[in-house]
Amino acid sequence: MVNQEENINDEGVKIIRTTSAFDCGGRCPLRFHVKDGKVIRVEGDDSADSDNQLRACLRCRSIRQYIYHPERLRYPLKRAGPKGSGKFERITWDEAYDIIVEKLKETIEKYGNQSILYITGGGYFGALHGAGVAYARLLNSLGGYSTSYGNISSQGAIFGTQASYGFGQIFVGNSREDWMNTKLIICWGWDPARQISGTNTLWWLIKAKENGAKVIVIDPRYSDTALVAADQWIPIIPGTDTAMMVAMANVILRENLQDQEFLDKYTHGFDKYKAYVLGDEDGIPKTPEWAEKICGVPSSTIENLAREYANTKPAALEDCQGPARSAMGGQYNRGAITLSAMTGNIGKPGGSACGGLHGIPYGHMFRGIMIPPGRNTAWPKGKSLRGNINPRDRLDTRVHVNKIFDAILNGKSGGYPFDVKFAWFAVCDFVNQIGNANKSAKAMSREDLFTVVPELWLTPTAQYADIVLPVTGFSARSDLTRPWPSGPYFGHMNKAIEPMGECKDDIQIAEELAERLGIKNFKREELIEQYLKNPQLAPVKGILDKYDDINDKWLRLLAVMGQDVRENIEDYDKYKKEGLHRIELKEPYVAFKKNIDDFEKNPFPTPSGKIEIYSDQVASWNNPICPPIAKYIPTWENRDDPLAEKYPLQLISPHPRQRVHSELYKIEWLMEAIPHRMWINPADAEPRDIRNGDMCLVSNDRGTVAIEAFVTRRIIPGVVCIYEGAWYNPDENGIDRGACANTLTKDAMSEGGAAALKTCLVQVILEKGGA
Amino acid sequence: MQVGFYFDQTRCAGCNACRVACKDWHDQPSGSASWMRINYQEEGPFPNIFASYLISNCYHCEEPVCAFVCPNEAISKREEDGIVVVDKDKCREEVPCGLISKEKMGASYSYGELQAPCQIACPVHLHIPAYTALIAKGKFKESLDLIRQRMPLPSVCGRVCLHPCEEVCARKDVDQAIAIEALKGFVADNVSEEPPKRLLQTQSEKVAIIGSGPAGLAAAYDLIRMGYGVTIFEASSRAGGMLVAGIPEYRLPRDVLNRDIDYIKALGVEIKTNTLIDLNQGLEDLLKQGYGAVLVAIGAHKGKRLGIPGADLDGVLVGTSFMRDVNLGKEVKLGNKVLIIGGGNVAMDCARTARRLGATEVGVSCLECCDDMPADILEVDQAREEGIQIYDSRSFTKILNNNGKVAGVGCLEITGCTFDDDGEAHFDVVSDEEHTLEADTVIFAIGQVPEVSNSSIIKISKRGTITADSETLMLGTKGLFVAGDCFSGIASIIDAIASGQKTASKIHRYLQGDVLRVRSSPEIAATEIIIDIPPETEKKERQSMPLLSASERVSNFKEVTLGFSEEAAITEAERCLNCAGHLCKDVCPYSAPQFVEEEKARMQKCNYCVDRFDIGKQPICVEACYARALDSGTLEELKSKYGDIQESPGFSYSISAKPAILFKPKKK
Repeated sequence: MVNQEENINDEGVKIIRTTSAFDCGGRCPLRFHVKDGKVIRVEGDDSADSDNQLRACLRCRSIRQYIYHPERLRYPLKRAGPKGSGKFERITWDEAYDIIVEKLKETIEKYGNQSILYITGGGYFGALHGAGVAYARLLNSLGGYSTSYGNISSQGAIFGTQASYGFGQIFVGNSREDWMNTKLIICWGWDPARQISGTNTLWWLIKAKENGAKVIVIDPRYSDTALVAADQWIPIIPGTDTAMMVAMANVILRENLQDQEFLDKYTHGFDKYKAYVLGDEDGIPKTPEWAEKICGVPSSTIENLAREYANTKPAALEDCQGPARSAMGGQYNRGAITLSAMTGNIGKPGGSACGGLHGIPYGHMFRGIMIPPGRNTAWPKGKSLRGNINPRDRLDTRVHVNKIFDAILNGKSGGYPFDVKFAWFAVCDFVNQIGNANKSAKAMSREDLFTVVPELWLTPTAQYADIVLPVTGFSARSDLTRPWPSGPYFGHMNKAIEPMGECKDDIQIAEELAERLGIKNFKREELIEQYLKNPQLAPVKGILDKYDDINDKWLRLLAVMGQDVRENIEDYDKYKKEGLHRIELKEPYVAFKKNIDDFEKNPFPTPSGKIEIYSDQVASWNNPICPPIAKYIPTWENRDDPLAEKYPLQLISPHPRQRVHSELYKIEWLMEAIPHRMWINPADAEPRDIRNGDMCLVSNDRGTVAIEAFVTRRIIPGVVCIYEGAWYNPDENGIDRGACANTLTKDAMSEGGAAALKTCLVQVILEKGGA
Repeated sequence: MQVGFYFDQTRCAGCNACRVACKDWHDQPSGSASWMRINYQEEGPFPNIFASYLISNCYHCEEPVCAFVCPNEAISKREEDGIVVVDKDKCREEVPCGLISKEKMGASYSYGELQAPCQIACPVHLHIPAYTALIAKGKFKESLDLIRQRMPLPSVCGRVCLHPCEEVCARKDVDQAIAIEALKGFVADNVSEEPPKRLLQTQSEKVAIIGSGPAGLAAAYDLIRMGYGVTIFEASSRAGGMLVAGIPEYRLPRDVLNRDIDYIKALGVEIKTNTLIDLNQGLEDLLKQGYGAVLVAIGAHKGKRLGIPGADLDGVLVGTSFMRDVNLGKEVKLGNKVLIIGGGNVAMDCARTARRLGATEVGVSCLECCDDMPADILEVDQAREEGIQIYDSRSFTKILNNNGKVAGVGCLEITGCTFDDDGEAHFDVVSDEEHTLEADTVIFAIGQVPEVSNSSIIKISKRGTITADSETLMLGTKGLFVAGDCFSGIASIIDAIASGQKTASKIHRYLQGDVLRVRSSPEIAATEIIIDIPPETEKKERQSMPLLSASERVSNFKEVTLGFSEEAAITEAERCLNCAGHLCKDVCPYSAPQFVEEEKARMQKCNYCVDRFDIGKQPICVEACYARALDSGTLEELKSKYGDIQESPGFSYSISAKPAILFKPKKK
């Protein structure tokens, strides 16, 4: 039942207000024009104040091709050929359920719950239909499962942030309009013109620039942000950001430009950093000349930037999560935080706390309430994680996200906490989205592995499944949504169309499986009764009784359960109808302003109570590649690695503008607007006889991809760029014709627990000339 | 009322939201035409990059040129709001727009992509059918604007072009080719133009060009429009290279030549005459002086002599020197009986010039038979009218010596001639019996080579031309380029122009730090284009070019051709069959019209979202732009909101187009 009534015009067109639920930094209001049950057009936000409209980007503009794409899954499928062959046969839901139930029972009986590996990702962000929790709740009802630790996106930044600001401190962003208070914005590896880091982030950056702020972009690429906003572009060799930051600190210290008062009052352990920077620790002063040799940025540029950053008040240094997804990535966020502390820009309007996460605690995705999945009793016993930020301590019980397939291949004999017999991947496409796709494919081809994948598409991961379950997309769902890092607002999805073919909601699939598995009180109807027995929620019961639809009831309940929703939304029906609720902030949100303004009452939740330039906790790990202060430590597969003789080019794989990771890959409107191409500098292209549009082979010991060249001076020589998310598609010779960046990247973990996907060496050769 | 767009280039990050929104709103499937295009431009060597995006949807011009040329009047401007709309039912319907045979061309057929044979045959690919159509509609100024887009010397090439376009004109199958060359000359002569505004130098580099001939001038014209500073160094006292030194005034009056050169100078090209650059150290010095690149375009001015006895006698001249001396006003000693050896246009120029200088008996003697002479047939006809004898099918054994003076040329009759790989000629001699052509002056016009010798920088090929990388067009030294006859060997003016343009594009790439080697897409030859001429096509005689009578011209250097009248030009232009069609696309400065293969390709372009406009909404692209780089409204509204109108750089060739768009450019 499409449950949204709104203005129906003469031609029978209904406007349905909704948002997407992708793993995208934007969460943009959309107006679907629905006629005869079909979405016929899409419009964006129509708020009267066009300046404040939350305008959707090209991806949601293409959503009709996504909804009605012929390759969308419509029926349950069972594998009918070798794993990865793409051969499937249509089966009924009953058949699918029978096979899954039997396999689940058999696996638990024979191998125990730990042999079930359940992996979720960011494919759908909504309160009710979040597939991750639906199946987790199901598996927990059966005794639990094994899973992964770490998120592909931001673990490096989360490490850096927590090491500096304390356990759980992840809201390090300022609301975007605070840029109107700044004089200098340094986008360090951050490209908000491409990667939507909150709807309107680019718009506020443009406004800040037009308001007189100088914008400097530090990036191996002349990014779209550089193109549209930069007064200065500083190209830098990937993986060397921390060296340049340390050299800036060196200049600031030698010229005594630091905010010593700030450092004395709010920070811990700056002396140790100073000793490292000036060379007292190891005899090597970290001068701009020292850094120039490492990062390729002229020493004079580093000096000038250090002076400019230290002397311009306030200044916003904006690091992000991308460069942190490298072998020593956590140091980059730590280094940025240190610089921001040295210049006294933390907690100040127009400044920045750094840390790379950019989130504010209003309407943030992380604060969304979902139906709790219950306790997982299958986890092995591990070290206490309360207050503990050590990534290694998490590996006693779980596998690092970038090592999932290595764990499937090697299990306990490979040092992992479990052997995998049954794999369940939901809302993720990890064969494609984590390092070393060929290894992932090999692991997924294990004949004795049983794999279930609920999906909208036959993704590279689904290609290896035994059973593929067709699930509904966001246009067929109503849900509560939130933006990634920066709203501040809440979104409300309204169901626009009926499910296609035999597609079902994940929550419904979980319930139907639960029923077959004899699990009690699992259904939404039963569960809500249990919840409403909670005395705190009991008052809501009377209200919910007015509504028939169980999803409607749940959404209203989940809305009430979320503290920030409860505090902000008085009229749920208005919120639902408008598909959006904006949170009006009296003034821009500034991270840690409270701590800085009234430090005595609001110390930082670190062991020292201060911003930890030096972390005693990190020091206690005695991990030589995870130093307690932000240090530049050379990594594997950097330019000095002996491997560079064979593979002389560094590969970076940023977020694509035309996709949300691997989602929307098949959308032709997007593909033709922005083709999947490899960026390469003429200095690297010319000696290889590579010309614009030529088909190239990019390879290393892990694999080979075939991709068209975009010869451009917008990338530093020695570096090539392939946007992540294109679908892994190996041909008979093992060459990935889809050119998935992760066919080349390594399945390694960084010092801080990040997936080290931006540390990668490759060689490029011409395959075939002519487009 | 005129509605239009505002585009703020400083805000556009090229995200393509407008493009996708446009496709969604207008239900344009993927693979179909994109009404909203986002053009990307990248400048400057790493790391001094300047990149920008520019949208090019329809600019709803105040005076849309596309509407003028549409044979079916399918394009119109809505009076009430100025939106340029296309009536898809009319497009290509009543009057055929495009006669290329879909059936016979098979897979290579693509409406909107294939060009007419004339345009393909033209070395610079002028928009011939489109400028012809504009002439037919009386839009002479627009026609000249369009010609100037790719043609640096419209007046020159309206007279002395070898016009390979006319050779392949499909109209020849009906009656005669269109007088394409003369039509160009007509607009160049008859449109009164203000001198163009001096262009601002937007690139930091300057380029030095050695030689002010057609190749050098063409390169200068393109480079100055790309924003470079351009200085031409000319050894002679007058600019124009072979145009001034080689071509006689009766074919190309000097005021006409100067009009073209003055136009290029007005754009900002500096020409330093009487400045000889040493082709060794001098080139390196120019690089050291701060020129980012140096182009050697010195032409081929050194005439050849045959290696036969008597070739060095007093009274034996070389064509190029003879023409140069005459053209530059030097005194030339000629006898009464002048014999030219050679069968090309230079031979004709020498012969007709000798006639004008008072020689009573002038002959042209060549290897080829009359029908195969390389000279333009009109030239040969006009020469004959002036009493010049043609002695064809002959080889030459010696020049007869009469007391140190020329007495004649010894010849053998031949039936054919072939050249081997080394350029050696082999003759099919009729008999060994020699005969004599009497003469007191002999002028060789048998080919030319550049006046240059081997050095550490310049390497000379076997053919006597300068060698360079055939793809990068660069000499061994970085930054030194070559173009025109000195590289290609003797060729036509239009070939030299094309060569100059090609090298200019390489110089641009070089200065931008871009890859010089570019893979070119396979080209389809003019002769491969198959035209289906409707059987009912009526014959219409080609307008004949009015000429001075032979008696009026043999004693002076007055221009022989008198040019078309307006009426003749329009009548002639109307003869064009419009082989390829898509004239709207060709004339649009913004490439708005698009054709994508369907059952019958119809023109598509932005319609300003008329359905939204009519209910008071902005076009979808404006709503979709999250950088707020786009706006729409009446021009008055937009002007008061954003300031004065500016033309989009890089696209606008036409002053007449007057786009209804306000543009805020991004500055370097």
